[in-house]
Amino acid sequence: MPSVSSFLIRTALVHLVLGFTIGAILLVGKAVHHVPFQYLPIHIELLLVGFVIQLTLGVAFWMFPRLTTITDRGRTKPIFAAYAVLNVGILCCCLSVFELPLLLGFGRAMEVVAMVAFVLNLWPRIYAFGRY
Amino acid sequence: MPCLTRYFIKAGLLYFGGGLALVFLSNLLALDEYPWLASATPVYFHMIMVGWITQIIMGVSFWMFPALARDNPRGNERLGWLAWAGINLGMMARMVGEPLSASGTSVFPGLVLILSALLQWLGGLAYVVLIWPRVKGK
Repeated sequence: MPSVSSFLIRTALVHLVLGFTIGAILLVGKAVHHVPFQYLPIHIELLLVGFVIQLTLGVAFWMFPRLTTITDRGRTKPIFAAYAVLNVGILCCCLSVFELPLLLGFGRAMEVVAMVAFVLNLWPRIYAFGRY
Repeated sequence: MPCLTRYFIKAGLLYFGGGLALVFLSNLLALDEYPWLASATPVYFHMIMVGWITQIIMGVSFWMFPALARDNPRGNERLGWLAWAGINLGMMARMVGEPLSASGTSVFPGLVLILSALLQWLGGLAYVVLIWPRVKGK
């Protein structure tokens, strides 16, 4: 597994634990009829973008067909940068629930930038069997 | 494919089918006449996101991620079973507790929801402890 994938997947696992913890707090809140609904967007953000999407990207970078040579997965520096930008975006979106609405727009923009970088990097690795 | 992976994937498929059926029912029937169905939105959402997607991720990663060691390739499998039991029992408790909680004010549904929260949280934690050492870069 390339190191950038291990960073992506381990960060996704951290988000899984945080997202499940907040989810458990929300569910206990529902049980005692006092749900802290303001934290629901953090729960969704951590599990949907932080866990599912980030883990998918990490596995895709690891498992997709390589480029021209057997070890060539393309440049890793843009992926490391996208990893950093994605997680800054997730953090900003989570912090936006504390009455900081501007952070939501900034965070979403960061996430879009990261996704574009991932797509541009992974695109050439999606090709028909036997092309190379 | 390891036995634990098969259990994760087959349970995931059941939740996928069940979740879609519940979505279908929610769209088909008038929610005013079936209040338990109105409370089912978080249930079917979690059946698909936790019961289906998360369990598929857990099962396939347990199967496909790099081996831990030659003599112990997949780590402590008991943690995997704990994760499977936690997620599935927790989801079932939620499927029972949510409609009951919405339709009454007795203490019992609340306790079921607390149990569900605890089981799912433990299940998620057990999975992360199990899979973490197998996520290693070169």
